[in-house]
Amino acid sequence: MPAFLLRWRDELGETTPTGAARVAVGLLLLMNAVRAARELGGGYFGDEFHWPLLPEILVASRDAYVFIVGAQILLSLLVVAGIRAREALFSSALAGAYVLACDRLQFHNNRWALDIDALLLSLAPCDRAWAIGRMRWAPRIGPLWAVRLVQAQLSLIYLTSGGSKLMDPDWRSGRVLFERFVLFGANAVDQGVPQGIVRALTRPEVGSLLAKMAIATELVLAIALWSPSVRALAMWWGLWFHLSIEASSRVEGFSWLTLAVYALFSTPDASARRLEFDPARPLARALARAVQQADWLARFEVRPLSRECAAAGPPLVAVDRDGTAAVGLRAVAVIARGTPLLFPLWLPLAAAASLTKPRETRRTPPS
Amino acid sequence: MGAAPIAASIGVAVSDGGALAGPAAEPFPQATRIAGHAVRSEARTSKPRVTRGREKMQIGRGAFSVKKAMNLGPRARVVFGASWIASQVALVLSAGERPDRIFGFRMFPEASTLEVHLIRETSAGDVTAPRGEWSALDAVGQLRHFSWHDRVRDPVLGAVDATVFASYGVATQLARLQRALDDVAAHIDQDGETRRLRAHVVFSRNGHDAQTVELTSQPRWGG
Repeated sequence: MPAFLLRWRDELGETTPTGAARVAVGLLLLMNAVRAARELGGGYFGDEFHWPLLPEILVASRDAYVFIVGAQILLSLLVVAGIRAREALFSSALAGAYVLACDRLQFHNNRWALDIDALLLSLAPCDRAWAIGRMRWAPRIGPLWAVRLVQAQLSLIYLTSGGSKLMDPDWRSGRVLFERFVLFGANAVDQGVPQGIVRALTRPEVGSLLAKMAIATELVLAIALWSPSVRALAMWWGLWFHLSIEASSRVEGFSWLTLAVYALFSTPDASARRLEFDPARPLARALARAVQQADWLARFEVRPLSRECAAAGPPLVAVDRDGTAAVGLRAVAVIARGTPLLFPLWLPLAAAASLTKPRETRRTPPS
Repeated sequence: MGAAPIAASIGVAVSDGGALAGPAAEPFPQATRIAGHAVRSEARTSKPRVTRGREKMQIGRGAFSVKKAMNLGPRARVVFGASWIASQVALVLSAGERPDRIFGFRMFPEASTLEVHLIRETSAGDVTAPRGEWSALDAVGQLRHFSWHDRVRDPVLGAVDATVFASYGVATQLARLQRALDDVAAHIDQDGETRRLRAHVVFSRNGHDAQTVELTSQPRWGG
């Protein structure tokens, strides 16, 4: 068997990011189930025109569908809580796929992506972190082969989406985007987007430029997310790409699902970076606590500086993966790179930090 | 300490813990990549849980559990992974063969619009059904009211005589509309006049010049 296949099959690693992704997927499953329940209030899909993939006799009856939607709500709560999370994910995925098979009018790319990601995540040890009742010291190392499949699935989606746009002359020329701006510009203005921005976007040359950027972004992300040297940059770009789609289009939870999968691309280790703070200073203490709270992917080991170090140096020191210690704005950039909530600001912070005078020292990499 | 001895020393720690803990539950105690200190902290702390897990397994569980089945062994991982990738690629590549292009992950494929006008074919000729509403006599001569929206609630297909955005593209919406016509025609039992339903569709694909197409339902009687 080729070495890369053996590596994929046998890889073990930290599963805190997998747990965080599970919570996000659980919340999206919950949103989906609540939407289905709300739509059920307006009528059962089987009483109106529907288009099943399955033979009609296998389509869920009204009572069965009510039960499925109720079960989906319950299962999604279990997924979020981390209680029997893998079984709940697996069941949610099957239920979701069955509903899509009952009525392909309910098919949306984002719902299908959610179901298949839920299925793949159920095969990963996603219940070892971010789970109610899970002890802090409990083992969090686990096999990552299924996590890598979720990542591969995202790359496939990017390739397919970008590739289909590349093959379409109307997309390549920017005509599709331009028309979308024309059709939905008024809606954007109604929702508070400044008229000037909408007017700027509804120009053919802008549509053409943005279309080429979108195609290039999708195709590059499919590959770049796998490369350790450019991954952070790719994730930052992809994050803003998806946030802009979220702001301009109705894609249900697809943007958030994709960003949750981004967490799985993080290096599968824990506490590889350090944040050292002066415990005598309230502000440093508060910042350290804030970082600890926002450290969803277990990137940092937060620890107080010894009295001697604290007296001699700055109140807050961020030590990067390679042992480089940073203070001031550079420390903030290191923190932003490792915390999902601050990650959107990472590149501008890092750029600004690169203009500051380095006051860094080399420290021993974390043991 | 190298990765393999660490993993071997925590053979149970890298498994699922709880009911499934135990060397047998983890097919790969010989780790190939492990994050250093995280593994060591597990090695320090995992023993008590292992004991509990084993007890639980002996007392409470049979030979099979769903979670155990979900922990695939080495060969199963390769088979599953290869099948998964192959099936997803096949679904994507074959999306164009499906009338509504589902499973193709073609995001924002078009920026097209369409406008559907509904027409009833009767023995007296074609009659339009403005906004999808019409009245017709039933078999015993009683006048009854019918509505396209009684069956079709989809926001795109339900919009008769109005220009709407063709979500997922014109081809997808035309495929859906064809089935909607057949469905409605099959559910207006008390309409004694309408032989067939017809949709006159005006669409513009990505802002190009408008085109028209006619779709017709299955005949309700008499061919």
